[in-house]
Parts: sequence; structure tokens; C-alpha cells
Amino acid sequence: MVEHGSFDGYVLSEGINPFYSDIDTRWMTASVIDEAVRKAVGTGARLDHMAGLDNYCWPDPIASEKNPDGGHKLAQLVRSTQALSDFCQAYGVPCISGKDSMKNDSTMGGVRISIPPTVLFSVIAKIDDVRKAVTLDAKRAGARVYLLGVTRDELGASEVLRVLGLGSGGRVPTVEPGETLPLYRKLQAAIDRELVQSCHSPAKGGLAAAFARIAMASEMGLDVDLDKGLHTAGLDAANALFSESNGRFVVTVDPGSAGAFEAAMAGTPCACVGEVTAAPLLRIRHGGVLRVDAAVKELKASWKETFDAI
Amino acid sequence: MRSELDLRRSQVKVLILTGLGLNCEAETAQAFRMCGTKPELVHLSDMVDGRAARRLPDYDIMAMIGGFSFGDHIAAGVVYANRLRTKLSAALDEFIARGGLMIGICNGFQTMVRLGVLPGLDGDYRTQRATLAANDRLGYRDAWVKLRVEPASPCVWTRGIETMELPARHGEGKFLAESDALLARIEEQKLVALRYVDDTGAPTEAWPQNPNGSPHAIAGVSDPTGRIFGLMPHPDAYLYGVHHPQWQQKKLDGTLREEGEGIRIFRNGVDHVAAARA
Repeated sequence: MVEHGSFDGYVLSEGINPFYSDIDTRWMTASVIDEAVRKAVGTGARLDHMAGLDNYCWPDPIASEKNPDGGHKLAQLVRSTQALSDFCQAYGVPCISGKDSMKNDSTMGGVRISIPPTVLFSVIAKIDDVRKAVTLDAKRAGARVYLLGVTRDELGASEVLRVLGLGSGGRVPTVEPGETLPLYRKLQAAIDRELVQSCHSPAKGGLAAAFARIAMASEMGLDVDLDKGLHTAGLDAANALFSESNGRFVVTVDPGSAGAFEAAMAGTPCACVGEVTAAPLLRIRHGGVLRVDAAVKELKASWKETFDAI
Repeated sequence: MRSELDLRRSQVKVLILTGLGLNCEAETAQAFRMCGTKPELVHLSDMVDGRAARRLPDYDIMAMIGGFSFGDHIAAGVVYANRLRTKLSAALDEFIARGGLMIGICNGFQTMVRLGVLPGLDGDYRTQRATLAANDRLGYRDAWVKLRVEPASPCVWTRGIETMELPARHGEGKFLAESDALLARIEEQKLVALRYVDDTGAPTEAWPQNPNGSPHAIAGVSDPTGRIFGLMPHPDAYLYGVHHPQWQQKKLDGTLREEGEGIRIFRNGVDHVAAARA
């Protein structure tokens, strides 16, 4: 809440993904802006009442004897700031502050190590009534699961490739405001009309990780079939599950509101891909095959065990 | 037309001491406002240096709020307690002697225990006889806990409340009495007002339902008069229904209330004073 005594509030969100810089800092920058914006939209915050912060953390962009590829890093920086300008203007999100930390390099044992070009984009957005805010956890068994937005063959520098040690190859996710803005506006209106029970936007790890997070948060299961997705049906399994395309949401809707929700989203990519189940199992099908069949308990244990060791 | 009770509530004088690392004044003030009073926020230094509009004993209620006073240096609440002890001891004695009510939340509770205001046995509010030590599982933890009020407790702040869910946010919350004998006396005199319970409602020393390992699941304690109360969890952080982590489920169930469960504690304190005025 902004102030005690009234229910208007604000939402904070962020986007960060230095890995995309291996491929193209334009799309790295656009992706983190989109991620921060869409996460805020997914809570019910206002697209037209948002401000951003761009935090730059870059390796030395000045060429020198010690920094022979400085020219490349400077070019990456220029490309990033051009993208910052393009996409902040496209979304109408002014950068009200920011930070730049350049020259994040170090020489250890005679080897020069530079950080990857990184932008952390933070968003603060107004929400008119916090009592209408939406969270990521599914709320009711039997609710319909909808996939919103466009999924493309975009596994470049993705989490799945990283985890499997398969490098950065592939197409890095792009951002198309012509697609995302109409979707975000309609989703915001649908949330405002309280047609949405939960909302979560995939980022690193794509849809599979998003479904897992939703299941873990709600301690309920999901039974989804990506052959019902508008775009995921036509992609291979790896992309359907792990592509990190921007501008997407996984939304759950009460069956009684399904008609109203679909009407509200008409004209945007929106498909029902499954349902929330009481049994806490995450099941994802694609290409006619059950690709993921995991107990939420196992997912959660795996997710938490890293910290247990600390 | 304002009711007689509302009028008396509005006349209850509430002091909230602020400053020096404390950070819960906004919500604590709001809690007291929601109970019909106009709390006064006074920086500790102003109170100590005589710049405040009122003296400490002029207040009906004194709130020692949550936060990280003096950065928790040495240990949580130690420096703040020292400051009060050296500068406001007489004023505090007078406040208590006049029948003033005190509530200490988290850092406030820690401070009151270091001062000796709690457990306040034998009319002695000056000798430290207990402490709030580091959690068994070291480190600061912020998570909701389930609590049960001890029905036989004299505490005015917890009257009429059976159970409550509140956030607990602390690294030093383990209530330790100076001896087993003292702990036994505290239990005999029913000075434990609040305990951590598990999902079955039974008091527990097991983590995480008991976040700090307090023996006997002690979450909150009062003095024998019941007017002076301290607790580790934060009633000031459950003012509205939407503060609860499962508020959306409650909304769907139709059980979401506008007011949070924490308000009841503040209302008990305010109404105790208001009723005494009738």
C-alpha cells in the first residue's frame, strides 16, 4: 500500500538476464524490460502508471592494451542503450533513476575475467486496489489453465541449455510491442474485472519452470497439454517446454468465468491448455507424449535443497 | 453522533517512541488509529532531552515498536535499554506506578526484557532477569507463525483472543529466564500470555512453528498486573485482511475480513483504558 488508510498500492518487479548478452545485448535489454513490465502487469498493476530503473553493470567498454576487446564491449553498450530507448518509449515507461557500474573486470592468476554485460531493469507500478492483486499460485482445483502470448523457437542462451552445458546457441528471445502491448492491456482489464485466479509469467526455464513454480506455490497439481497451445503445438518439445519467449503468461481461471475471460482476451493469443488438479502432480504433455510427470513434493525438495546446504 | 466509547477512545493518550533504527512506527500508529486514538510519535532523543510536548507519565499507553534500534549492536535492544535506563528511569517508574499500559513488539519486547520491565515480578521493573537470545537456528527469519493465548493470563492486551496468526521477523527471539526457578515462577503466575503452536494447536518448541526455540513455546509475556506486555511476533503487521499470506484463498472462500487479526491486541489495550475512564 502507498499509505495506510487507502487500498491503492504499488508493485515492484524486475528483469535480469546477463546470459542473453552472449548473443545480442539489444535483445538482452529488451527482454529484461519486458520481463519487469509483464511481471507487474500480471499482478494487476497499471501499464499506464509505471516507472523504471535501469541498472547497468558492464565490463570495461574502453579499448586498451589490457582490454583488447573493449571496442566490442562498447558496441554492446551502445546497442543496449539504443534498445533501452526504443523499448522504454514503446512501453511508455520512463527511467526515473538508474546506475552504471562499468569496468567490472578482474585479473586472477594472470587471466582477465570480465562480467557479462548486464542490465537489471526494475519497475515500480501503481495498482489501484491491492485487494484485486493477483499472485502466481493457483487457487482452486478444476480451474482452467490458459497460456497467453506467443511462443517461438527461442532457446538461445536459455536456462535449459545452460543447465545441460549445451552452450548459448539458438535464437535469443525478442520483444514485439505490437504483440505484447495489446495483450498486456487486455490482461490488465481482465484482472481488474476479477476474472483471473492466478497469473505467472514464464522467464528463465520457460513454460516448464513456470508451471513448476505455480504448482509449488499452490501445492496443487497441473495437468497441461501443450498440443493445445496455439504455437507450442507446432514447436518441438524442447522449445515448447523451455523456450524463453517473452510476453507470455500462464493464467488460471474459474470455469464459471472462462467465457467472460476468453471474450476479454479476444484478438490476442490465448488458449486453454489444461486444468489445475487437487492431486499435487505436475503433468505436461506435448507431441502426444507425457513429457513431465513430477510430484510437487519432489520439485519443491529439489528447488530448496540448494539453500539447505548453506 | 459519536458513541460514548468512541469519545473515550479518542481521549486515550498513546505514545510511540521512534528513532535510532526503529522502523515500525507507521504501522503501529495506524493500528492505534484504527482503534480510535490519535497516537503521538516522539523521537526517543526528544523525549530524553526534554523537547517532547508531553512527559512520559502523561501517557496512558506506551508502545515500544519493532525495528533494529542501534543496529542491534551488542545485542538487540541492549543499547536502547541502556539509554532508557540512564535517562528515563524515573519517568518510566512513574508511568508504570500510575497504571500505564505498555506494549513491546519484537525489538520493543527485547528492550523491555533487557530493562527488566518484563517479567516485572515482585513489583521490580528495574532488574534484568531474562533475555531474548539468538534463535536456536541462527539467523533472522521472517515467516508467519500460529499462536495461542493462555486463557488464564492476566494480560489485558490478549483478552478474549484464543488464537492468532502473525508474522514473526527476528533473529533473537528465544525467551530465556535467568534460572529454571524463575521460569517456573513465570509459569505459576501465568505470565506467559502467548505461545507458538503447531497445526494441531499444541504448544511447540519445534522449528519452524517455533521460530527461535523458546522453551515452553513462549512467544509473549506480561507482568503480573497484565498491563505490561511484550511479544516477538508482529500484530502491527496484520492490520488488514490482505496482510495474510493466504488472503486470496480467504477471498475466494468468502472469509476475508477487512481488518486483520493483529488489531484485536491494540483494541484491547485502548479499550481497557477507555473503560477505566467510564
